[in-house]
Amino acid sequence: MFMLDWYAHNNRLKDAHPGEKAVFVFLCLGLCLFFSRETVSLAAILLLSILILFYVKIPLGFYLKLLCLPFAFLLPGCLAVALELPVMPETAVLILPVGPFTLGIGSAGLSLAVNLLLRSLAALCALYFLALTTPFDQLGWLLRRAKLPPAVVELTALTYRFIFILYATAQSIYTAQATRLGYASRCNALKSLGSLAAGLLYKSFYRSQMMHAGLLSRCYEGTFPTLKTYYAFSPRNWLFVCGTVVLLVAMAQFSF
Amino acid sequence: MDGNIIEIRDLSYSYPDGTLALQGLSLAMPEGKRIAVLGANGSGKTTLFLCLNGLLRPRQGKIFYRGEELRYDKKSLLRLRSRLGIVFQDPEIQLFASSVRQEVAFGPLNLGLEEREALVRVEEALCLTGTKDLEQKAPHMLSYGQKKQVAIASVLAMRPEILIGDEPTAWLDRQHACRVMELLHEISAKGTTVIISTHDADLAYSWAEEVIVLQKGKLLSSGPPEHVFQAGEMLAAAGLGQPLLLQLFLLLKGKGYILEGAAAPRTPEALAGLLKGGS
Ligand SMILES: Nc1ncnc2c1ncn2[C@@H]1O[C@H](COP(=O)(O)OP(=O)(O)OP(=O)(O)O)[C@@H](O)[C@H]1O
Ligand SMILES: [Mg+2]
Repeated sequence: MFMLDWYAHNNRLKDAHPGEKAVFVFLCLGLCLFFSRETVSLAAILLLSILILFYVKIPLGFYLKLLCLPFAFLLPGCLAVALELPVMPETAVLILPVGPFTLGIGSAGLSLAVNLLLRSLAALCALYFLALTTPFDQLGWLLRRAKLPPAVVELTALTYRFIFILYATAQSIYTAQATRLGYASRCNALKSLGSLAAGLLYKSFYRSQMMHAGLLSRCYEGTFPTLKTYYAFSPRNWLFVCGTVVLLVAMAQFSF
Repeated sequence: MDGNIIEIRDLSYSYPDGTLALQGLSLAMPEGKRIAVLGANGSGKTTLFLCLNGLLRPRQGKIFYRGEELRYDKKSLLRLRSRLGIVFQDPEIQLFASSVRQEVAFGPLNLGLEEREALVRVEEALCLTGTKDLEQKAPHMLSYGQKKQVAIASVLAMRPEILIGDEPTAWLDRQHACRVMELLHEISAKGTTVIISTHDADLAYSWAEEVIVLQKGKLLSSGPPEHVFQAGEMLAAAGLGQPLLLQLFLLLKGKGYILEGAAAPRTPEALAGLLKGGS
């Protein structure tokens, strides 16, 4: 979570127009879902991964870790799609007799599952591309441009800030406890953890009150106006977006 | 009295738990000066500032802003706060936005300024505080000193008539502390009344034109620093020390090394100039 945020603020595309990044990502996403072709999905996965690894320069290990996270949901889901009961012996790829039933994977189910897996993976890569290249401030800009209700956008922005404050507060309480052997034994740890939670609640409450005072002192009246930011369009990036669309559409003409 | 921008009469404030933080405080702050509110920990400096900004409502007593009594309806408060900016002791709680730029823009936009004018002020505040190259960063990525600078910028951008800094140098290293004090000096040179709180007598002595000493929520002494700091015993009672420079001056004077009739110096160079036989 925090690494992701760090990369979002420190990468080669951080100053690129957020609209360009969003259009690129949602075009990739849309085309993969629209064509629903393995070739298109594969091309998108490859393209996005190459970009993320070699252009945005995210370390391979971190990227793989990010991809592995949703796999826990993805694999069982695809497996459930692939499994057939009872399976037709003539189209079956794999047959598992379970008692009186014949459980197995049919070729139709298999191709459906592979398609699903690749599509999901492509969608993941696209969203990670956005998450890894776009600082939160730009996401806020996108949300505002998407005409979401201001209250929703403000809430998201405040939540973002508060996550870090909460984390820093918890960290400082934890350190304060640990230096005084608060976590030296299991019994101590349990007690300390309890008071950490209580302290966190109290401090969060106090901080939110103080923050409110801080806002009031700057003439806060219930809304968070923001400065419009103007980002520069880059013809090179748009060319790349067009190239990607052409590539993906072309890939849709092939199939395995 | 000409030009007291703030006057306080018989101000008392107690926190909900019964702590009497201010007790019958009366004082005046001259316009356009650099003012230091000096007091030990817990003497009520922060409470005083929160009252001045209308964030705390005193139990008793009155605050006058340019001779006009402070009222607590929404409109009056907004008017007050658009002219009197406060930089909090802990910058962490002041920063809420997801980038430095939006943080600094918050105040000016709340004033209802046009986009163009707001932008000008944001740029100006960022440049003055030397935070221009941080503008795209999120607040949690800044160091403590940088957060402090951004907090100052976010108030400066509103161009207040009075700038209050609650312990502006707390937790800063020497270099950053000096930079902040220089910045406050610059701001004051442009005509803004700058008020800071501190428990550092040396800092107050070298920087301020007017000193107000608080002890346990009461006024102990006020006036120009050369005057206030002469009373060593009074300062000790308030839990504060005498400025080192003044101590040296008084010692040297006692031993007869200082030119006759010389006034207390404010800088080491000035002290050196007062020595007998110096060139
Ligand atoms: N929220 C609060 N609830 C109850 N008592 C408080 C609260 N804040 C401050 N006090 C008390 O009010 C008194 C004055 O506090 P204040 O914060 O104004 O002092 P200060 O001069 O700013 O001190 P410091 O130099 O430590 O910042 C202290 O005795 C303090 O314990
Ligand atoms: Mg204080």
